[in-house]
Amino acid sequence: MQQKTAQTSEDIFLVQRCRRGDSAALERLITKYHSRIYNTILRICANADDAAELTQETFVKVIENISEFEGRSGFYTWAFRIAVNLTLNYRQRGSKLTFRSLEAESDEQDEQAKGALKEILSSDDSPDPAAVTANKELCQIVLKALDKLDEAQRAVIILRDIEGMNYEQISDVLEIELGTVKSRISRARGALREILGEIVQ
Amino acid sequence: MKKEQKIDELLNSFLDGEATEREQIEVQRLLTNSAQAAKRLKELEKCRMLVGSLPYAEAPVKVMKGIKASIRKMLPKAHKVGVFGRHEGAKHLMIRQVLSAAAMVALVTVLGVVVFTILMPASSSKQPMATNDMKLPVKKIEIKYEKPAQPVAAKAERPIEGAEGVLAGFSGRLQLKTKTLAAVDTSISRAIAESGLVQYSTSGRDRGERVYTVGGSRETVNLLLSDLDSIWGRFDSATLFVETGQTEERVVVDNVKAGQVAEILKQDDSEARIRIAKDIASFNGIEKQLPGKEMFAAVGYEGHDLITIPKPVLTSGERPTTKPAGEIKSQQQILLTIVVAGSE
Repeated sequence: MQQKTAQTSEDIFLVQRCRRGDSAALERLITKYHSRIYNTILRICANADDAAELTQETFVKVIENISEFEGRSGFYTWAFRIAVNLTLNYRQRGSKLTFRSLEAESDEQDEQAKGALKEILSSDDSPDPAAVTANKELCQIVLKALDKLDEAQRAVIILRDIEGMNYEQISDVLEIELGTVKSRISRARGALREILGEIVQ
Repeated sequence: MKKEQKIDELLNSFLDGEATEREQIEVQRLLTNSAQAAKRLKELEKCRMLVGSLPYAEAPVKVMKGIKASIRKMLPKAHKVGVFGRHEGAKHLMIRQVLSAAAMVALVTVLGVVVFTILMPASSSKQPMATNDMKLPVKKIEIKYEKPAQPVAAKAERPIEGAEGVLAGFSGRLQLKTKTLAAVDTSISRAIAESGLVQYSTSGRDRGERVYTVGGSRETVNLLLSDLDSIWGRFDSATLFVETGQTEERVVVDNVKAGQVAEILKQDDSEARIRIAKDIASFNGIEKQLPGKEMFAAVGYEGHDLITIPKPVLTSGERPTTKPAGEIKSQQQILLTIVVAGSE
């Protein structure tokens, strides 16, 4: 699910209207981005209820601070910055509920899913992502692997591989240097490769 | 930086399409020369594909509802603290307040007009409304009405001889005051005699006043008034009481002039006489309050002689004949009581 979104003229227009108190413009902005933000938060925090609450909180912060939004970056990256910061702060407070339950699953079931995943990936040179997407158990393996990354690495990988941001946008969202984005993505994928082990080898 | 780390960064940049042209060439060379690098790239690509293949989770409906609920709770506060920007919020609020106030004023005005239209008497609605545009200190002019007191002479003295049978087209009393009562008495008596009017009575000599009750046609009364006009300057005050007939009230015209009396008498019916008497009463009231004649200057009035009484000229040597009261037609009859009192 890679969607490249630049600062569009529509966003600029909607933000201006929103700052003048236009509730319709605000609703349009929310409708446009709420699912993408929810999806990103969900992949970072790995809990649907938490993701829903954090998404809601993100938009509250967006509305509270929209008068101070200077437009130096796009609304899209600004809103994602708020969402990712909220989520990372939340995760740092120590709520790792989802993967505790995942870890409780039987090793036998886990091994079977890993075998299936390896088969998909090694069947030919260009594996079908849809096959992974359709299989819930395979998705759980990937999610579990992601959860084993540290917060910073997970965020950068999700923004790149799920949200489809380019390095510059990631740099903007996470407020880090472009070189740091490069090295963090490299380390995150390396770690993921180690976690997934023989599935990807 | 370790060599492996550098190669990994290079491969990931290449995978993500972020490698520069020089880096892309370097990667191509690396992949050609190193099987291990090629394998590494493939593994990284699988990792990338696996993460990217995770299903896109649409936000549940409750998320949107929750956001809207939060906004609803937040908006009143937002207006106070300026969530949408202090200037914009304040401007919108002020515009709304001004519009609300204007709407209230318009509503009250409309209601006021409706109530005024309902409650205002029909008669007053037909009259022009006075405004305060004229800054002249003019008092409100009141047209005086009097209950019909019995004519001083007629009641106090003996009944008017022959007057009972007269159906007067006009009935009124002219009250005059003068310091030269004797001279005025002589002049009036002579004028009455010359005008051809029927004099029903004279009385009041014992009370220091003269009362003349005369009747006749409009023309003969005009003759009398023409004569009186020449001595009008001797009167300190002149008041005409015009009987309205229908309402048993009288219109009182203060400071009346001979010409004004003639103008009133000139009207064809009682209603017209009363109307013109009221107008003259109002005019005289204004004139009295404006001794400096500011009003006349304002309206371009050049003198007091609104009505010029034509002095009749006898073309024959015949004296006007005195007709008996019964022969005078009622529609032409004028019954006028002139009371001349001495002033101190």
